[in-house]
Amino acid sequence: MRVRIRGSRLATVARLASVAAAVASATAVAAGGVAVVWAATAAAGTAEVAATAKVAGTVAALPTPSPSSSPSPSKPGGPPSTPAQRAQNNFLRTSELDKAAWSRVGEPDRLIIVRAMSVDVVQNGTLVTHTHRAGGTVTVSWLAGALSGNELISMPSRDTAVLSAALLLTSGTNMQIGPGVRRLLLIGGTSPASASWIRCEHATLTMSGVTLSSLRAGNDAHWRPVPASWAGRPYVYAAAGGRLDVFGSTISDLGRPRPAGFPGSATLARLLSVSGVAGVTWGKGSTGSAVDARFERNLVGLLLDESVGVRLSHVTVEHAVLDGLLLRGDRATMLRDVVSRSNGGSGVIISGPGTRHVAGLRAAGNAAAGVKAVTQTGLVLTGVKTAADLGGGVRLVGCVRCTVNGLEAVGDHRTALTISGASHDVSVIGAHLDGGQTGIAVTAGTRAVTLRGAVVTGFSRSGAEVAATDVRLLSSRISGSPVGVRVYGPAARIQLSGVTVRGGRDGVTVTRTAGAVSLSDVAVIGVSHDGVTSASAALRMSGGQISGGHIGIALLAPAAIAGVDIDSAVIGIHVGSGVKAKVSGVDVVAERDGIKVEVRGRVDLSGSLIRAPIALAGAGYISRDSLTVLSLPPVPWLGFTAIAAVLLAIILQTVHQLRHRSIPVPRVARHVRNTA
Amino acid sequence: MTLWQTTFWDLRYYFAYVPLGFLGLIRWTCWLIRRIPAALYRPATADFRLPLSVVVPVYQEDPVIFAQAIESWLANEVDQIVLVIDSTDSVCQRVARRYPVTVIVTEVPGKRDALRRGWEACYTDLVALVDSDTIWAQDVAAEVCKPFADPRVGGVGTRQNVYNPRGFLQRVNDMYLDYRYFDENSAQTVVGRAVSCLSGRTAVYRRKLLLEVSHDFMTETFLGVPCMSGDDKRLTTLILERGHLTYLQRTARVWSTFPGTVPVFFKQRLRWARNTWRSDLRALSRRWVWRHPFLAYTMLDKAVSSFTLLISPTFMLIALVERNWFFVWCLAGWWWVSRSMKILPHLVRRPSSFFLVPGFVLTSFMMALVKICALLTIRKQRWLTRQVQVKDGVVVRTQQTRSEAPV
Repeated sequence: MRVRIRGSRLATVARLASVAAAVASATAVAAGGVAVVWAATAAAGTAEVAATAKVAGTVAALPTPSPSSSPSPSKPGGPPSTPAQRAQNNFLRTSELDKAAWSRVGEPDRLIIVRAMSVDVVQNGTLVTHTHRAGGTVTVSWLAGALSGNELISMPSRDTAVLSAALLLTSGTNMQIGPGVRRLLLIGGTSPASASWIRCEHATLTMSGVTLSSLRAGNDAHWRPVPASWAGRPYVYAAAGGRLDVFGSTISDLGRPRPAGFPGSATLARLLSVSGVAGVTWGKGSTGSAVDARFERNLVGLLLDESVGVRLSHVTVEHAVLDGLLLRGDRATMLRDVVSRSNGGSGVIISGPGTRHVAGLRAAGNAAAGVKAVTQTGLVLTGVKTAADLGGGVRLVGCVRCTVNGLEAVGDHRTALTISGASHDVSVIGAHLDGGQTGIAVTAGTRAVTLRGAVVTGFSRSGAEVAATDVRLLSSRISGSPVGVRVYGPAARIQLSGVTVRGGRDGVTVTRTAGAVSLSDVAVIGVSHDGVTSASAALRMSGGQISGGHIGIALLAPAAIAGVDIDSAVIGIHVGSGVKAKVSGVDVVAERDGIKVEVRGRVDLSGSLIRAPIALAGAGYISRDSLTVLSLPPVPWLGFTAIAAVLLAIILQTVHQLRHRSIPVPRVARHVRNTA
Repeated sequence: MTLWQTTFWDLRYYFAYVPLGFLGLIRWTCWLIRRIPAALYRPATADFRLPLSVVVPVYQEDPVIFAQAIESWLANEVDQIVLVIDSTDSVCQRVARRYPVTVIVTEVPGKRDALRRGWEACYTDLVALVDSDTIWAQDVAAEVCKPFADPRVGGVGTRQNVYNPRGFLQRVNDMYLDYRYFDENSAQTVVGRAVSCLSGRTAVYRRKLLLEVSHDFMTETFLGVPCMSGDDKRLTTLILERGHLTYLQRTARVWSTFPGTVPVFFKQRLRWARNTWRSDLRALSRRWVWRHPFLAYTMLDKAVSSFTLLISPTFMLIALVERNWFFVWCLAGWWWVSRSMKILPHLVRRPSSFFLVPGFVLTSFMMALVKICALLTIRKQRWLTRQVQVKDGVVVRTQQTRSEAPV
């Protein structure tokens, strides 16, 4: 039976008729367990009319199965002979495709599959609705209208939609959310199958000016989002070949936790693609962009998992339960003004293979590190800014041939910059680090690290801590930390050159376990305790200046000191018991002892100028050549002169007072009071 | 080393933190060169008296202060009081008529002409040129005559203080006055008896010398511009030029009003600074000043200090920018201590001024800027606090209406 329908006036009649036909068809094929209603759609009075409206379509009822003339539904492979048979075969084929898709995407309770020419609804694995459409962009309101009988998408108000099913956009489809619909809520539940989500596979999903969030199933009027601990929390996922663009939108309260029983991080990628831990994911091979977008309170804010060419511009990721932004194996990602803050994990994690240049990142107030790069090769981080991240500013773990340019870390807790995990060939240039516990930490197991032009200020423990090998700290300034540079542990072949340490308690300390430490042109100014303290047997110090402090250079192990200027220290150089040191070309002005050598210690002094009240002190042995000059320190004449001038002024005034003591108080009218 | 030795050696190096640089050493030396003779100053004590007239140019004076001043002069039993009152000032004319004084009402604006008219109207040997708001102690007339026992002395100055100072600026003015009279003027009196300026608030001259210098006094120009203010400096210089001496009689005490508002304070200081630059630059270019080497030295020192005074705050600014707080505190402390030492005579008189010293130091830095500004505008001839100016070589009024508030 074919019925031609024209105009919207008969749409209702057509619908009723189609329902009657569907009931009849359903009765006829009920034994097969499949109920399908073919319906012609007619939409009137909406924008979607242009896409699908006023379809003069056909309403076809399923033919009564004929055992002789048409292929049985149980045999879909047979050649169809009648239109009804062909329709049935198409239906079966669609059903199988939908079922396969349903199975692939985690077997949700309710699944909407948007195809190029149709929209299917699959419930519990059964195709229940197959709606033909004319193609074009799918919108939420059109979808709500097309599926109005299923209550899968409701629109409680004109600009709000509630999605109660998983939504799969398949190849060739294009869906637009907003700006007509300004708020889209995805229903979530306690189980993954009950949740709604949106995935696009080789499809395009565009969100513009929309707030996308989750909504608890069976919710009351308060419209609360789905808690982060619920397994059925919604998410958005751009799969292979998909394109996801987010403009001026806010996406919040999405992303489900890893289901119980799933393995750990070794299969995280697959895990993420299946379970959608992140609130929004650009999956493998997907692309797209996010501009002026906010991602809030997602489980993981945003994930780029082997995506290609995703552009993130003016994006804020905040208050994620776990990490904010995960970059995992992505390629050609463009970042500009991306802020990740106040997340429960790290602000940004960069992992996965590939050489990357990352710029324009800002992280603040995250519970873990601001930016963490894991096992990266050739990574270039430029212009990263971190602030007040509880786990430190930037962490490079197991990174090789990586470069950090222009890092700014302010007020990060713990360590502003950490290089660890057997990293090597790492360069850090022009870092500005301010406030925290430790400025720079290069841990044991790491090697070949160069830090140049760093400005490190105001750390509560130390400016830099080095336990690695082949580390160079060049042309840097460290101030306001109790210890400027600490070299410890298995550190070896450490070079400090052109480094200035200002203030604090100790300038440079080298522990006994460290080996081959070289200090050249290092300036330590205004420390309160020791300028340089070394217990390492292989300290070489040449050039530089030490000003202030109690001991200029304290040697607890053999060392070679050359060409260093020491002034304003109480003791210029202190050599410990049993220690041998070679000192040449130094200029020492000390307040008490120039060079003090403890018992069994020995200093070979050459070509030096030692000025102190006691130039050479201690029970140890000091040998000096003829070029070494010993003398008293210069007298601070100006200081003495100032004191003398003040005393003289007082004396002169006293003399003057005495000479004029007999002069009486003037007699003047009483109204004049300034007569003293 | 013993504990004492250790302490001594450690303590010694705290002296190094006194931020007296080489420039500070030079400035202190220059100051001590003045301070040492000033400490040896003694007033003249000869019992010598000459007839004395008081000449007072009057222009929009506070009538209450004016009356009190007249009474104080009368209390000194001077021979004659001549009040030269501007014709627009009817209030002061009425006040003057209450007292046995000579009143000359003048149509010619400007202080110089009033002074000239006044001393020409006198008949005594000595003439005291007095400002209309200056109150005398009861023995000023007797005290100022004593130095004139030396016939070489042509002019005598008095010690001045602020009349009942209130507010920060008047207290600062009082500090400046004590600094001047216990330091510079005293030293100039002791070494050479050549005080650079007998302040116009009360300056006593031999009348015949005033008559001699009348013409030069009235026709003073600087770089072609007729001079209007700086009459006291000019008279002192004219007296010294002619080989006479000037003396500070510190036992002759007078009190005068000073501005308490910032604009008037700075205007006054600017005017004085211009007067000083003009007078000192002219003097240093003449041979007569080198007959008084100490006077020449003080003039040069004053000129140089206008610039060197700004070096210290420059270092302070640099230290503040670099956040070198230790140096900042050391330098600020040194400023407080060193300036207090330099104004000890005032602090002995008013110990509470010790807490105003920081403000005094900052004011002195601003005064250095004012002096440099004055040097750059040296040719400007405006009273700034009077409504008169020089126009086409003639002193004219800039405002006809009398203001009720005195300047």
